[in-house]
Amino acid sequence: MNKLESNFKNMVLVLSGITLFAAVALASVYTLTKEPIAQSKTAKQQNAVKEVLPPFNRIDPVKRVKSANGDSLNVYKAFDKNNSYVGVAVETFSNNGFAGLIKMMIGFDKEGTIVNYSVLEQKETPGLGTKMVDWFKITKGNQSIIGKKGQLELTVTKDGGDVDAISAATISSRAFLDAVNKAYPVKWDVTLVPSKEAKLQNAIKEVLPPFSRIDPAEAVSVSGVGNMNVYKAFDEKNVLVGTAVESFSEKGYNGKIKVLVGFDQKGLIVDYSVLEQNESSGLGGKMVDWFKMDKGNQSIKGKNPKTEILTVGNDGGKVDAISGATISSRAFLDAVNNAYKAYVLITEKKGQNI
Amino acid sequence: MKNSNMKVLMNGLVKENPTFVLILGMCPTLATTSSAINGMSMGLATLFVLVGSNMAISLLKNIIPDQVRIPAYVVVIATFVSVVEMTMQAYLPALYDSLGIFIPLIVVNCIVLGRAEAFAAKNTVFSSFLDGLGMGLGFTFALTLLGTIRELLGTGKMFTATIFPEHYGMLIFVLAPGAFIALGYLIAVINKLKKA
Repeated sequence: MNKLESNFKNMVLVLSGITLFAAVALASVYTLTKEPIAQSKTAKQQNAVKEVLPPFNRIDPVKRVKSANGDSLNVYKAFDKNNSYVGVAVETFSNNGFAGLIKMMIGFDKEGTIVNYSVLEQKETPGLGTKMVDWFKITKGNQSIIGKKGQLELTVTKDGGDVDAISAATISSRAFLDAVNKAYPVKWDVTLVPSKEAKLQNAIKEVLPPFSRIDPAEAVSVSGVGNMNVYKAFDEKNVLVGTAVESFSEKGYNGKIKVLVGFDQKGLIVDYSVLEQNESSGLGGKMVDWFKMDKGNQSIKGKNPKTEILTVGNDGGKVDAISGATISSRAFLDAVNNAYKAYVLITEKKGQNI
Repeated sequence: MKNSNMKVLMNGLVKENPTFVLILGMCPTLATTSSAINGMSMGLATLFVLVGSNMAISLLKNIIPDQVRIPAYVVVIATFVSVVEMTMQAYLPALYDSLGIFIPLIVVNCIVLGRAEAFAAKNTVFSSFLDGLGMGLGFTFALTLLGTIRELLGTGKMFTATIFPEHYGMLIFVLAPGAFIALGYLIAVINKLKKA
């Protein structure tokens, strides 16, 4: 067979034919390898998570969390078989490597101590920067970052820090620590968004005077409203110091509002904490601290719901509503008044004077 | 095997070794040989592409008009490279991680296009296959040798097995200048051996 003549028709036909064939071949290889590629990527991630965390039973589905400097990082929270939180793995990165991107997984236990790390991706110089894969795990001089704790800003000794850089690879070491530091704020975001239970415990502490123990929750049925949980707090001499009521109101601008209100032994409001609300941010959302501020008639702290009618000015009450959010303010005060009803019920039940 | 076929195969390995004699494909040679395993893997990936593209181009040589042969070859080669890249990423992820950025560079490796133009476009499919195999093996051999030497001198290891403690190593051999120095000496030694 003789070679095809180089005329326009032949050239167009042959080139189109070859590119078409190449496209089909590539598409089929892509389809064939798509699944294994995705699998090997997740396997790598899963293994890295296992490597950098204390033993755990299950991990929460991955969450993307925005860190303080605006980077979104993947976060894996781990729990043991009793469902208590054991640590968090953060997939972090730095673009300041000697050869660009460095990606790694770093694990923190529940106290925020670095457990371990695993470098997922790096293109640093072999024999120099690539040593980061285990350099910062080795206990020798000040190399290791394992066991470091707190919201640290890790830097290399050259920059006045306390971590020994990889010899002759300061840039890579800096980038590595940059990635580690990036993971810190994220870690705190994650641990500071506690479970509902922990949130409630913290709220109880917040709204009551200092106490040494609390009774288990008691359910009180408030007629016309519903069931509420009440927590009684005692000091070390077993004297009642206050009562916290987990109250709610359905009348919020965007539905239900859940509030924990603390009363002292005289029935005065000590403090409150909003557990749940979906009000407009910047308006109704201000309820989180609006009614705590000592300004005008905003604050409800120290008020006695028995003698003072806690309603907004528009309704003939004495409390300043959040500007532009009267409905949310009404709902909030409704929840507070509901809490007082529950408080009255529980103290009367025990035959105590208010 | 016929004598002439053997000659084609050995041509790439020794007489026209792409790295030491033709001095082709220097970019991947210098960049990926920081360790023996990296050099060898790069060589093997190139070998696969060479064999594949040589055979495909030899098959197509009569239907490709002369004026568009270069774009046609480049498409064929690029296809093989992408296949290698995806396959490696799927089944050898660790290797893909260390060679990742050099795999696409095989497309512009002059050995591949050079053999397509100089050999495959003029010979039968079988001898093109042998030529690709020979050239590929020659390239793999050269890269593995260079990688082994650099790894040994730089880090005291050979295929990651420690030969002498790392801190006696000369780091420069792992870096770019070491690549040039080692390659220069290797070419000199091979030229000397060839003349002898």
